[in-house]
Amino acid sequence: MVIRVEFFGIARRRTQTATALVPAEGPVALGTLLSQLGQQFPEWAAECLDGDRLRHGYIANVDGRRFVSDPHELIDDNAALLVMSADAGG
Amino acid sequence: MIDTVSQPHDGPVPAGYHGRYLSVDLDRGRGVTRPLREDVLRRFLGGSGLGTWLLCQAGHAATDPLAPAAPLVFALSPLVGSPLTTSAKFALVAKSPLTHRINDSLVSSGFALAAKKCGCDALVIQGRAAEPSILVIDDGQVRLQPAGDLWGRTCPETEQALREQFGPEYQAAVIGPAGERLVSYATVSHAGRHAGRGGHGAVLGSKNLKAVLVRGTQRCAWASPGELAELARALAARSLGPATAKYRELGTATNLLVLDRLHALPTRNFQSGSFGDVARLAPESLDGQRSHVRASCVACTIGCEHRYQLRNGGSSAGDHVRVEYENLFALGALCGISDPDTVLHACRQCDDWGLDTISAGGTIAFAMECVERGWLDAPWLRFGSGSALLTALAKIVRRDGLGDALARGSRDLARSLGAKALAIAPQVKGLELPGYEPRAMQTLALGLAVGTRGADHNRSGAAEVDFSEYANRRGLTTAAAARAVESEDRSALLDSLILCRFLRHALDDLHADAARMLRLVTGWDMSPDELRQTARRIITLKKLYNIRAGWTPDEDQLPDRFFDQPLPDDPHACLARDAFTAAVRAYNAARGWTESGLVDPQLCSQLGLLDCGSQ
Ligand code: SF4
Repeated sequence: MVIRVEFFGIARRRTQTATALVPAEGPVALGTLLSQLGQQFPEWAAECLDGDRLRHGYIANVDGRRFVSDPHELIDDNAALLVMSADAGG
Repeated sequence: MIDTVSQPHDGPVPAGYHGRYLSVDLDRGRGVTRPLREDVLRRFLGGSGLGTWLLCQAGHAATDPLAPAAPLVFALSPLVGSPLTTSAKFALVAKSPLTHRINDSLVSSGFALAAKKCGCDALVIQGRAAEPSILVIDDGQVRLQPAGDLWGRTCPETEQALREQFGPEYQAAVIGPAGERLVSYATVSHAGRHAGRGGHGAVLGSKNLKAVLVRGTQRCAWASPGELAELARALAARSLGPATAKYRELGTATNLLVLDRLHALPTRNFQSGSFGDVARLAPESLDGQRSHVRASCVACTIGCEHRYQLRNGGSSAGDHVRVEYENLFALGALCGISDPDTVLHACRQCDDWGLDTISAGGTIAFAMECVERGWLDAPWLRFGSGSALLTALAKIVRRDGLGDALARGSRDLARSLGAKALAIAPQVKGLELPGYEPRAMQTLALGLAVGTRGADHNRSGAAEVDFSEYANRRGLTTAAAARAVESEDRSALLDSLILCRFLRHALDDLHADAARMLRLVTGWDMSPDELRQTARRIITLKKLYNIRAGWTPDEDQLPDRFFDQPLPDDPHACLARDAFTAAVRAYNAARGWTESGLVDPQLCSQLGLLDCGSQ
């Protein structure tokens, strides 16, 4: 199975991609997934990650449904993980 | 020259303030400098808070907003002129001709700095000049002069002409043709930024004022200048960190793709939450296609302003147009238009003529749906038609034909079409909804409904609750009400300090940080809890003003369209009316108001609101 990661805003600029596909066999902890992505996109990790968490000001969303930040939260292996700014205001 | 007298001030004046405001009566040709007591300044700070207090003192809330007696308040704040980043802002506060309720809007830049050097913390204007005029406040001296051929000119033309005539030391807040013609959502413009919402431009136009021009030399002292400079340096460094990168590099327009993905981007007058062609309008695509420059308000280290080149234009800065999320949503997706040239052109027209983009786009999109449903006979006004959008904007500003009805906003137009139209008119209290689909962001839906100035995302701030794990954005509960209150309180504090809301993620703890700033500026030893209470006081005073102006509980409501029907493109996004009603009650309870949203005298006493006018 594959977790589809969609980057928005600054995350998209730093990774220089709109999506990344992460193979997974079973649910993966959010922290593990972010760390894995950090290895793939070091520039993004340097700015947006603090260990295995997103920095203050950034947030993740699963399947467009629920926002998550706890690194232990399990992400299904067929989910879409959206990574975006936590600041929705315009 | 306007005769100006000074009333004596016998109390202490805290650092950061002048301790007085200037009241100008255009009918009598008189100005009075009146004292502001320290306890008033400490209770209401500045900006929105102080402006609301002055509005309550200056006039009767039932007065027609365009009558000469209606006051228009320009309120500064203790932080204006300090080295703290994003603090060069002022608030305009008045009764709105669009909503007939309180309206407070903020604007940035040099006007705030120059106005504070005039030696006052606020300016209150009442009356009506005998002919189209410019009000000049020159270091406390006040004069009126004929606007002459400035009347009829666009906002940037007016500012440019005033700069040439008076020189760069003077700063101007101006109206465009929309304000002159009393369009209910006309803006007051300064340096390309606008006090956008609720029609302050029409209020200034109703006073026959094309511009207010300020210059001064009087400075306030700071209580602890050395420590303040240190704090300002630290804050400036934090303002350049990751929390504000979005604003610096992409601007607010980057919200388009995110909100579209979450089915929260209002499209075709809220008939859908996503717009197939959204990518064409997003800064991520605009960037590669046309020249792009960044700009910033005076005294701001973030610089969130992004300007994109208009096609067929040259390469000078004048050929670039400011792009914000709300403009792209309202003049793009909401009207079903994806052609970037058309949308940028419409943004430019609104900026030049002094029209609020959200209300202009919202009213036009509503009319487009009425045409689609056969309720309005204007076959040219179709979703997706760029020429229809540009024609409608021109008609609004000329008040020509259908444009005259559109110039009064969607609620007024809906009332003329009947109850079925009111159900889909995108407004609360008459103020058009901003770019967040209420069914997909339900804490914000609550914030929009209960907001004192109507459907407003800046005063509410509840969008960030929906963008967090603390709420289910598609399932409103009463628990969300407390968070809606907190976010609204934070906004009230930022708007009264005044600091830009885009700085908030760079602060560790808003209340503690604000208490420190105020201590270094004014010398007050304020606790975070005192500031929490200040925010509650300000919001309750706005509510009291609305009650005096005729507010009734049924105004804290969304249009029927949003209830009990799922969003067509997201079946999980359904706002249950029962849950919403319960959340409004929970909100009122969390504010200490009665179940129906009234304010009892005991609360007024607790909050220190007993001297806030009774009219
Ligand atoms: S962040 Fe943007 S709106 Fe705020 S003060 Fe700076 S330039 Fe102005």
